[in-house]
Amino acid sequence: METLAPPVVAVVVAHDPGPWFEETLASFGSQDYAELSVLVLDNASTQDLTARVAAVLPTAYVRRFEESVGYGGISDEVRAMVDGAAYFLFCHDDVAPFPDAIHLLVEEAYRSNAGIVSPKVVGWDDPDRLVHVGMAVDKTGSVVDRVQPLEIDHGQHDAVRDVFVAPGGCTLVRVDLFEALGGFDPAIVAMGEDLDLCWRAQVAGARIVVAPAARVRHRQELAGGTRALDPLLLSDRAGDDRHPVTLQGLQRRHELLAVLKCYGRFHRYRVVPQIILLNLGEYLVAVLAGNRPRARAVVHAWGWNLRRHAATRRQRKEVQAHRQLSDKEVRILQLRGSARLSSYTRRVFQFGFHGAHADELASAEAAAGLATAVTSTDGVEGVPVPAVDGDVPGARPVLTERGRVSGRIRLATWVIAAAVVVVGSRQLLTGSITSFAQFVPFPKWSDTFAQFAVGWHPSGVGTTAPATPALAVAGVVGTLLLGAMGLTQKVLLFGCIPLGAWGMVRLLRPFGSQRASLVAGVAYLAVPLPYDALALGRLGALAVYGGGPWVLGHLFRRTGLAPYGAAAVDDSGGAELAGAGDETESVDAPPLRRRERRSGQRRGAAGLPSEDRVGRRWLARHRTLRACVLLGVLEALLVVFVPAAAVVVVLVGAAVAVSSCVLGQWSRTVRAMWLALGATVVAAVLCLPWVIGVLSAGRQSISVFGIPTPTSEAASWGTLLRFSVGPIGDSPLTWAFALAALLPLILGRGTRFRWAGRCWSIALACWLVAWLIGRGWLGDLAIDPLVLLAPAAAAITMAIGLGIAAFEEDLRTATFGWRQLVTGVAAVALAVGTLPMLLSALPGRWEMPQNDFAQTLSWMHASHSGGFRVLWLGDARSLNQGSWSAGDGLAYATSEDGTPDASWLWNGTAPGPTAQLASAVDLARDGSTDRLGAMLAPAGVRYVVELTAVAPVIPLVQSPAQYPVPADLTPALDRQLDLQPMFTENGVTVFDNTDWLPERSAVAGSSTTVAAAAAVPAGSDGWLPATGTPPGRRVVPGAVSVLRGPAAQRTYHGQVPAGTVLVAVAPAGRWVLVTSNGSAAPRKPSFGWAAQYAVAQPGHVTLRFQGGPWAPLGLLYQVLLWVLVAAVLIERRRIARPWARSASRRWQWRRIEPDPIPGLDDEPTGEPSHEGDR
Amino acid sequence: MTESMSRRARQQRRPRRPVPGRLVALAGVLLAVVGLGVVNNAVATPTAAPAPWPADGVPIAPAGSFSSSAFCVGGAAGPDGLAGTTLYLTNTSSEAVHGVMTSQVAPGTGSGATSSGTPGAPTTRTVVVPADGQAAVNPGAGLATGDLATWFAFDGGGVAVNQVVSGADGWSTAPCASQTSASWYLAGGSTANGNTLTLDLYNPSSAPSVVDVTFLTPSGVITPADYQGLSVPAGQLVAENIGDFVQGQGDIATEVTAQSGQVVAAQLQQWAGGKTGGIGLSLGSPVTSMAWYFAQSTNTGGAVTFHLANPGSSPVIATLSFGFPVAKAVPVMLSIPPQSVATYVTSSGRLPGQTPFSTVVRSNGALVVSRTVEARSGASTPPKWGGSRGATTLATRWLVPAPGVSGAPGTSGATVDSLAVSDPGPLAARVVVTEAVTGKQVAVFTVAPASLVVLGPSTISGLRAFGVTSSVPVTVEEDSGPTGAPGVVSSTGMSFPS
Repeated sequence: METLAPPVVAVVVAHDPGPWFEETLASFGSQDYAELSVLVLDNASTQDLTARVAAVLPTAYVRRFEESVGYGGISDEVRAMVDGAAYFLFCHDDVAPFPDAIHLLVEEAYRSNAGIVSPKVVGWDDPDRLVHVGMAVDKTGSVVDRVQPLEIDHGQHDAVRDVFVAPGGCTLVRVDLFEALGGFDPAIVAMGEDLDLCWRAQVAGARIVVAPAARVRHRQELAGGTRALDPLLLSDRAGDDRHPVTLQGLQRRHELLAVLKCYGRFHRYRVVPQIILLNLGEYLVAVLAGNRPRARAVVHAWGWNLRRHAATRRQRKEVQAHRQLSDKEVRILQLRGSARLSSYTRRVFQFGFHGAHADELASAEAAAGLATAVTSTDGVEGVPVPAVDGDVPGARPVLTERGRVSGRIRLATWVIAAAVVVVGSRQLLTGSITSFAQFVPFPKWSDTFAQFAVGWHPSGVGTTAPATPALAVAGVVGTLLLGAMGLTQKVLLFGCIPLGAWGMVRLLRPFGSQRASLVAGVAYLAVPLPYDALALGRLGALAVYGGGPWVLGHLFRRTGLAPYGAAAVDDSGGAELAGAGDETESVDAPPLRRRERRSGQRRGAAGLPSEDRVGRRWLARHRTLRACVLLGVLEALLVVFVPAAAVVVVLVGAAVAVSSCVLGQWSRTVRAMWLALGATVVAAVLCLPWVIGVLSAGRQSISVFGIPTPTSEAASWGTLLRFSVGPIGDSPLTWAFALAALLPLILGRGTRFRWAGRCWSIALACWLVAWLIGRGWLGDLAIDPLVLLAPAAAAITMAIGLGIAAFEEDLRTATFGWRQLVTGVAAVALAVGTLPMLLSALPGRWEMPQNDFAQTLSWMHASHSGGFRVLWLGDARSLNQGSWSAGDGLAYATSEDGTPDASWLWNGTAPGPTAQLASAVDLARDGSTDRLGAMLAPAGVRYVVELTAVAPVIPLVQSPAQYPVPADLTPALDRQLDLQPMFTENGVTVFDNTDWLPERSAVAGSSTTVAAAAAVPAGSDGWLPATGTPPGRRVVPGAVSVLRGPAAQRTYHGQVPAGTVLVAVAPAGRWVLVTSNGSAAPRKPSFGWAAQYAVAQPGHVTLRFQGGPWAPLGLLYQVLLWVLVAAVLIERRRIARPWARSASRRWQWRRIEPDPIPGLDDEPTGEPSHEGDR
Repeated sequence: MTESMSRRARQQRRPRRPVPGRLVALAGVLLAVVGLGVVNNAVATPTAAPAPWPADGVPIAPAGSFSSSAFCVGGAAGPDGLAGTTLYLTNTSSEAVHGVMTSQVAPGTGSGATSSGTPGAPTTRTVVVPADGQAAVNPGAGLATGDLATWFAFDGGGVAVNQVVSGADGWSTAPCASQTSASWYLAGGSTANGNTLTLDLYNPSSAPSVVDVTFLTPSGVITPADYQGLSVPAGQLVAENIGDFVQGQGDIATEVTAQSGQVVAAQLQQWAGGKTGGIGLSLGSPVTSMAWYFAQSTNTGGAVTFHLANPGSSPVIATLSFGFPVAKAVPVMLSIPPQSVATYVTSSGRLPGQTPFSTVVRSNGALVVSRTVEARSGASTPPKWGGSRGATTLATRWLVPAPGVSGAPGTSGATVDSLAVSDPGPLAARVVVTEAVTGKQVAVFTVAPASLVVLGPSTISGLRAFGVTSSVPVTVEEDSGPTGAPGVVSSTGMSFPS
C-alpha cells in the first residue's frame, strides 16, 4: 500500500558510541513511521560501526568518515547524500525515540507549520525525568532550559508551544529550510549548533515548536561530561596544551558566534557592548571565586571569535540575506535581561558566593577526572582533553562544623560591609579626588611611562637617578583602564581596601572557620587605619594595608607550621608533609586538600610536555627560591610605591622569629625571617636600577623610607595601639580592637593560641618601632607610622579572627563560666570598636578635604613669564611630592610651573644640587641672609610656598591635618627683602621672589656681564652676591626668558639672541644646546651647577637632554626581568619552556639522576618519562 | 549514643590541660602594652621649638652671613634738618665687609621735596667696614632736606649700625633695625605742650606695602582714617606728623600693622624747647612682650617715667620690679585696660634718688614699654628730655656701640658716661667687658641675681664700642652724655644671636 507520509531521514551521528548504541538503533527500528530512513554517519570512530549497525538495523545506511569533523560539519554531509526527503531528523548516537515519536513530530510539523520541531527529551534510564522541553535564549545568546534539572514529568510541559531553540540530540528539520539556511555551521564542532541553526531559522521566519507528545530518551554523554570530545576537533589553537578548551568554553564561544552572526547592525552594536560588560563582570567574579574554567571560557570565547571575525562577517551577510524577521521581532521571542546573570544571582542568594560556584567547580572537577580516565583508557598520549584546570577546585580547607556560616549570611555580611565602605566613600567614588598630600593626580598614562623610561626627572633642579617603577605600574594600570588616569588613581587607592580584607579572609582560611575569616575580614575593614590614610593622603599606608595580609600569608606559609604547614606541602611537593605532621598543634588543625600535589598529578596525567615537568621539578626542588620570588614580587610591588614596605616585611619576619622566645619552634619561625630577607633581596633585584640610584645617595639613602617629622608631632603609645593616628576613629572606643585580640591568648589552644601569640608579636614589634621612630630614637630612620601600623592592624585583626576560631573549637568542652563571659566581652568590644568607623562613614568622604591647594594655587600655571620653579617648604606629610629633609622636621621639594602631579611623588634620594636650596633656606632661618630670593634665583625659583596643612583650612567647611613648620621659618621668610608675601590662606603662604631668574634665560650681547654675574665667588657655595642689586632686579641683569615650553620636558625649542643662554637644570653635562647651524653651543658652568651656553648667532636653537646608555639598559633590564618573572609565575609555556629545556640539557650534561619527588613525579602508567622522550 | 556523643562526653570528663606558655604570652603582651604606656607617659613628649625671639628687631647678623642689612630710620638730611643724622658702623667680624648704602628722603618733609610730593632720587654709595673696625657715614650728604631713611646692604654679616641724631634741642641715639617686620609698636610719644611726634615708615622691599596705624592714648584709641591703608611705596620712606591727628596727648602708643609687605618703623619725639627741650629717637619694637628690661635708670630730681601700652583686647596686670646693686624694692603692680596706656613715674619719692636701678616689667599679657627721662628743672645741658625703648630680650653676648667714633662724635663732646649690666635672672652672671675693636678687656665682674652693675666713666669713658659677654643672659644699657640727666640719652645694647 502506498503511503502519503512525507519521507523522513533520521541522521544519526556516531562517534565511538558505547554499548547503548544498539538500543539507539533498535529504537529507530521500532518506529511506527513508515517513510523513515536511517542514515548513520560514523564520525571517525575507532572501530567501524557498520557491523554493529547491520546487526541491529540492517535497513540503515552507514557512511564512515575517516577524519572527525564535528557534529555540524558531518551533519551537513547529508545535504549531498540524500535527495527527496521532506524532513531530516538529526540525532545523536545516545538518543532513543519512543516508537511514536517521529510520526508525532512530523504531524506537529504539519499542524504548526513549523520548520523545526523538537520532542520532549527525557532521561535515558528514567523517562519520568525531564531533560529538555525546548529551550529559551536571552539577547546575549545564553541558553536557558525550560525545565529544572531532574524535574519530574507530571505533564506540566505537555502543551505544544513555540520555543527559540530546539535542543540538539533529536531535532526534526524541514529539508527546504535546512537547505535555505545552508545547514549547520561547520565551525561549531559541538555545543551550540542547535542555537545557531535555530536562531538563523528564526531570522528566516521559520517557526520552531516543541511537541511534547513525542518523547525521546537521551543519555547526554557529551554534555553531561561522561564522554570526552574528540580532541582532534579542538586542534584549532583554541586552547593550549595546558588549558584545553572546555565544553563550557565551546558553549560560550558558539553563543557569542551566534550573536555576532545573527543580529543586524543596530542590535549588534547595542547588545555586544552589554555582553562585554557582562563578560567583564563575570570574569572578575570568576577570578575572585577561583573559578578559573569559567574565566578562561569567557576569555576564550572572545579570542576565538576575534580570530575568525572575517568568516563571521561572511556568515553574517548570508544570514542577513535570508532575513524575514527583524531583530526587534526576534527579540520578542527571546528572554528579557541576562539569563545568566539572573541565574547566578539566584544561586548566590540561595547558596552564597562560594556555594554558587561550588557545583560548577565540582562538576568541572568530576569532568576533568573522567576525561582523564577516558583519555587514558583510550590510550591517547600527550593530547589534552577538555578538562578544567586543576588549580581551581579543592583550594580550600575542610571546614569545621562549628565554623561553617551559611552562604546567605556571609553574602549579606559582605554586602553590608561593602555598602558601608562605599557609602563612606561615596563622594570620593562619584567625584574627583582632591589633590593633597600623596593623593595627586597622575599625568597622562603615556607620560608615566615616559617619566619612568627617559632617565631624567625634573624633581629638585633635575636628576638622572633612575625612576621608581611605580610610574610604570601606574602606567600599566592606566593602560588597562584605557588611559583613564583618574580612574587609575581611584583603583589604586580604593582597591587597597577590599584587597586587604580579601587577604585577611584568606589568611584565616586555613584555620577552617568561615566565621573566623568573616569576622577577621570585617574587623580589618573596621580598623580606622585605611580611612585615616585616606583622610591624611597617605598612599603608602593604603598600599601596605592592602598588601599586609598577603605578606603575612606568605611568611606564615613559609614557617610550615600548622595549619599553614599543609601549604608548605605545596612548595615541597609533599616532602615536608611529615615535618608538618610532627607538630603537636597540627592534631586539631583541619586538613587542607593537597591542591598542588593533586594538580601536579592531574597535569602529569594530562600529558604535560616533559620540559614543563622539568621546570616544575626544578621549582619544587628550589622551593625556597620560589617562595622568595613570590613574596619578592609582592614586596616589589609594594616597595615601588612605599619603600618602607621593605622594612615592614623584614620587621614582620623578624617578629615571627622572635615570637619563638615564648612559643618555641625557632627552627620553623626563623624561616619567616629568612624568607623576608630573601624576598627583600628579590624585590631589590627586580628594581635594581632604582635601588642602585637609592644606594648611590650614601648615608642619605635612608631617607628613601621617609623624611623625619617633628618629634613634637609624634603619636603616643596609646594612639598607636588604637590605630587612631588620624581624624577617623579618634575615640577611646577603638581600644576595643586590641582588647578583642586578647581573646585567643586567653581561650585559645593549639594552633590558635600559638598563632595568636605570633600575631601579637608582630603587632607589638610594629607598634614599638613606630613609637621609637616618632620619638626620633632611631636616628634618621623615619617611616610613616601608618605604614607600620598596617601590618599591626592585620596581625591584630587576625588575632580577633583566631579568637572566634578558639571560641568555636576550644570552648566546646568547657563548662559555662568566665570563658564565655570573656568571649562576650570581646564580642561586644569588637562591635563597639566598629562604631567610630561607622560614624565616620556618614559624611561620605572620610574627612578628606574638599578643597585643595591645586585649586587655590592654580593661578601659578597661568604664568607666561617663562619657566619657573616653585620651592615648597613644610612638613613632609604636607607636601604633594617627594621631598628632602631640611632639618628640624622641615622638608623641601620643588615643582615646575605650578603645582605638581603624581610623577613628582617619587624623586631621587640624593638631592644633588637641589641641596643648595635647603642651604639657602637654612641661611635665612639662621638670620644669615635677608636676600633668600636672590639665592634661589639661579634655580629658577619664582615662588616659595610654605605649607602648614595638607589642604586649605576653611573654618566650618574643612579641617584638614595641619603640620606646623619650624617656628623660625615664617619669621625668616617674612624678613627676606626679595620675597614678597603675595598669597596667604590658612595652611599656605606664597612668597613671590622678586629676584627670580627664569629657568631658561638669555642675555643678549657680550657674555662678560653674564659671566661676571654667574661667576661663583670662591667659598660661596654657588651663591651670588646680591648686594650689588636692590631687590626686584634680577640677579643677572638683562636676562629674559627663552625656550619656553611645558614643564618637565626634555627638549625645548625657540629663538635666542646672540649672547649667553642660562639653563638651570641638572646635571648640566647632560644637556646640550644645538644652535641653528646644527652645532652644539659651547657650555660653561654657571652658579656652580647649572650651565651657560655661548650663542654666537641669533636664531632657533634646541635644548635637549642627552641621556647615557644606563637609562635604556636599566629599562631593558627591568622590562625583561619583570616579563620573565610574570611569565614564570603565571607559568606561560612559551617562555617557561625554553628555560626548562635549558635546564633539561644542563641536567643531562651533568648526568645527575634527580631523586623522584613524591606526588610530582608520579607519572601515569605507560607515559614515557622525559628522559625517555630524549 | 553515637560515637561522637560518647567522644564528647569523654572530652568533657577529661580535665583541661593548661596550655604551655599561655601565662608567659599573656604577661608578655600586657607587660609590653602597659610598660610602654608608662614609659610613654614618663618620657616627656618633645615640644616644638618656640619661635625665636625677634631680638627687638636689631640682632646682629652672624659673621659668616651671606648678606645682611641695616635700616636706619628717623633722622633728617640736609643742613636744615631738625635732627641731623650720623651713622656708625661697627664690624665685629674679622673680615672687611662691603656694602651698599642707599639713602632716601621722604617726600614732602623738607625743602627738597618735589612739588608733586614724589621723592627725590635715592643716593647710593658703597661702604667698606674694616675688619674689627668702625666707620662713620653721613647719609644725608648730597640729599635735599627731609626725613631720612638709609638702607645698608652688606655682603656679609657681623656689622652693627647705630645712629645719632642731633639738633638744636639736643641729641639722641638709637640702634638701626636689621630686620623688617609687618608690625611695629612704639610707646611714650607725646603731642602735648607743643611737642612734636613724627612717625617714620620705611619700606626697603621691592613691593609696596600697605599699613594701618593706630594710636593708643589716655583718651582712648585713635584710628585716623588717613592712616588706614596707608601706602608705603617700595623703597620709600613715609614720614607722618602724628600731631596732625592726635593732638594734645601726653602719652601716645603707636601700633603699625602692615596689611601687606614689611616696613621699618621709628619715631622721633621732639619735646618743646626751652627749659625742658629735647629729642628722642626710638626704633619701634616688632613685637609686644610680657617682659621688658631696662638695665639702668637713675632718679636725679627729674622724672623717670615708664610708659606701658596694652594693644591687646584684654586687661593686663603688669608688675614693675626694681633692682639695686645691694637691695630690691617692693614691686609695683599696674592694671592696664585693653587698648590703653598707663604710666608709672619713679621720681615721686618712691625710689631712692641718685642710685641707678634696673627695671623689669613683667605682665600677664603682651605690652609695649618705653621710658622717658626728664632732667631736673635746674639742669642746663641739653637735652633735658629723652626717651628710649626697653629691651625684650636677654642675651649672653652684646655689642654696645658708642654715640660716635673717635674723630666723629655724634654730637659735640659725645661720650659714654656709663655702662650698666643687669641680671634679671635667678643666677649670678659672670660678665666680661671688652673693647669691641681692639678686643682689650675692660672689666670683669659678677652681677648678682636681680641686680645690676654700672661701670662709670673711669672705666668706660670715651667713644668706644664695647663687647659684653656673660655667663647667663643679661641685659645691657649705656648712658651717654652730655645730657641734662642720666638716662636722657641712652641706648640698649645690640645682641648677637645665640
